[in-house]
Amino acid sequence: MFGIIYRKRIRCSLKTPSLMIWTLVFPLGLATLFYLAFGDLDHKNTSGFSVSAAVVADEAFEEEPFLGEMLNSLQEGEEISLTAAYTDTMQEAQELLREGEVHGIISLREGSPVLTVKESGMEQTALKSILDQYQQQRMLLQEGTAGAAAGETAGGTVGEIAGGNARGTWVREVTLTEEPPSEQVTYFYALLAMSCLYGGLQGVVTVSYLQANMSPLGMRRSIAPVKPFTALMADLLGGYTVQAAGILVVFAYMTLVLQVGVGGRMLLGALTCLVGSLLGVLMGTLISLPARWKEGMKIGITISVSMVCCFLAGMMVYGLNYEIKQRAPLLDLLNPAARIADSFRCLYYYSDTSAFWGNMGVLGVMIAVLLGILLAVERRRGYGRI
Amino acid sequence: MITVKNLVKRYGEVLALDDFSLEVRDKEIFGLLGPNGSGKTTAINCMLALLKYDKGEVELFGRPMKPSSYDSKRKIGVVPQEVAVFSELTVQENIDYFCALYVKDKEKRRGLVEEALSFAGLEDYRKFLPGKLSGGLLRRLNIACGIAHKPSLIFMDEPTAAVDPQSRNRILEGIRQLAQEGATIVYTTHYMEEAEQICTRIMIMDRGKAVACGTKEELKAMIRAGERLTVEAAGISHQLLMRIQEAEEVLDAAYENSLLKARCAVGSRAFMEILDLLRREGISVGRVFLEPPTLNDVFLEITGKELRD
Repeated sequence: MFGIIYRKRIRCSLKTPSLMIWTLVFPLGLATLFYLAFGDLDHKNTSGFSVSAAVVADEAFEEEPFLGEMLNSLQEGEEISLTAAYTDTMQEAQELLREGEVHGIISLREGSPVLTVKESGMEQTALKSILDQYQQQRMLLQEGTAGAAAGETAGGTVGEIAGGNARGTWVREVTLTEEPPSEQVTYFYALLAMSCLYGGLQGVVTVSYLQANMSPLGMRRSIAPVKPFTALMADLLGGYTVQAAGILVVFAYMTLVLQVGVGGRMLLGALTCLVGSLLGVLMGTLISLPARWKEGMKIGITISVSMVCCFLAGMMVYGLNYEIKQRAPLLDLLNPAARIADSFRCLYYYSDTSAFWGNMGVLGVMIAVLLGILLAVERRRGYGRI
Repeated sequence: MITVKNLVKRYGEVLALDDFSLEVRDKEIFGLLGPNGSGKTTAINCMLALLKYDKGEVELFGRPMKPSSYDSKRKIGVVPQEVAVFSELTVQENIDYFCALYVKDKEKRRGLVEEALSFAGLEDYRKFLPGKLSGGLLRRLNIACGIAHKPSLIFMDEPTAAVDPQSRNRILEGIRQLAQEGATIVYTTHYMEEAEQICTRIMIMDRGKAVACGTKEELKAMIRAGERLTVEAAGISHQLLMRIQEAEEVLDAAYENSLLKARCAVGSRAFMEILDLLRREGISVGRVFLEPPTLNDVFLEITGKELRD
């Protein structure tokens, strides 16, 4: 009984176009699209990029010598090369900006650097990033060297360090594995998390096959002499098998074809996919349990929940996941997409796997809780509730 | 085989089953007849323990029917109103799947699936996906999935809805065959002709109540209406129609499109009097039809409305 329900469920899932699209085609397509769009993201922003800025060298500028130092150090930058045109007044700088001689104006107001631009673009973003980095490093080093002469650090002046950072020589982001730091992997990991959570659609189908009010098939199966628990488990396992196979194909495509790294730990990466998919299937099943909701509504809610989780895990906005982690750590901890994506990130960045297993532990607890709720609800279910 | 006592089922304020009772005997084709919304499907769902009811008792095979009555469920086959098959599986795979929910033995199942295919006339379509079948064939597949495991009690909920006459006849013939082979069948429909054609006993339902039950002869004997007279006659005046309507033992009469239709009391000779009256008034009479009362007449008299209202 269990075997035939399980086998036929696999067969039905494989022959259901909508399920195959969400499980396989959509993630593969999106991964390819990500690759084409972000494939060179880690190099594009930093290799031989030139910007020019008018620098208002007024009194305020004279009082903040480190900014000048940083701007000078960037004139021969390896990654970003800055050409600074010093002016005495703001009006002269504005004239240069108006005539398109420079991409922006750097001035100082109340001790903080201010950027003025007339349009948005890569160059303007680079200028903003330079000033943000300067400000950040300045505060960091001043706090970290309390007692030392303001602006002087063991590594050099604030300006030199901030400038050096921008050139990639003084302060560098490093990983504890052999993988280079990468922005693009964040998108791919969030995409894998999304694919795992789309397993929820298998959960929706499982429930629609079981509840008499959801479909004529559900009705026919409710009348059969099969214990609901047996039917649920066989169907769930069948759906999960297809989902797991699909996510492993997506994972293999990303890592082997698109060369998205997981710190060389393919097996642990595959384990993350399998655990994440199980969580996705269970989430969809639980979302579908309220008998009065229509199937379309259940599918809509499942996809929406997956998308919101992935959004918060940084799939659409780079760095949002870090913001959430800082501002709402509990939300980040309980976001299954964040935990799945973070598991991949841990594999990529750390040689030590304790952070990875920590994430696995959280996912395991989530699975146990969802399974517990599901079994409790199923035990109470008697009538088909047409 | 089935005993239902004083069943009450409410959907909020709506009373779907109102003190509904029923007794189905062994090996009979029991018809549940009633218009849409009369409570037929609700009654069946309660009998099958798909639906929780507010009051009453349901016994199948002499035992209370509950969602966990797996021994009873094993002997039941259901043909739901909507086609309930997997669109991704072929005809043969669908029958095998539903049969497998009842029969574990693979060899035995193979034989049963073949029998079901032959019973439904689907041998040539075994490799077809349901989407490729016509409406009639799809209905036959729906039936084959419900009866492949050879149940002794079969519930059929409007199995001929929206099928062509040829398929309908084949389905009705199949139902008769199942009864001959020893199955008890509960058959719901709102087609009175079907009920008259195949059912041993019929229950008429209206607004969640059983309003009448018996063989078709017993049901017809419950009402005053006898034969229905239809006469082709031109030029019947309003006064003449009034005289016909007022005649003794004429229950009602109407005249439209040169057709006079009258219902007379059981056993009366009123139709002879009507024909005499027409002749006396110099009305030329064309064809004359005399029909026995139908279940619709029964329904009309008992409930005051047409079956398909």
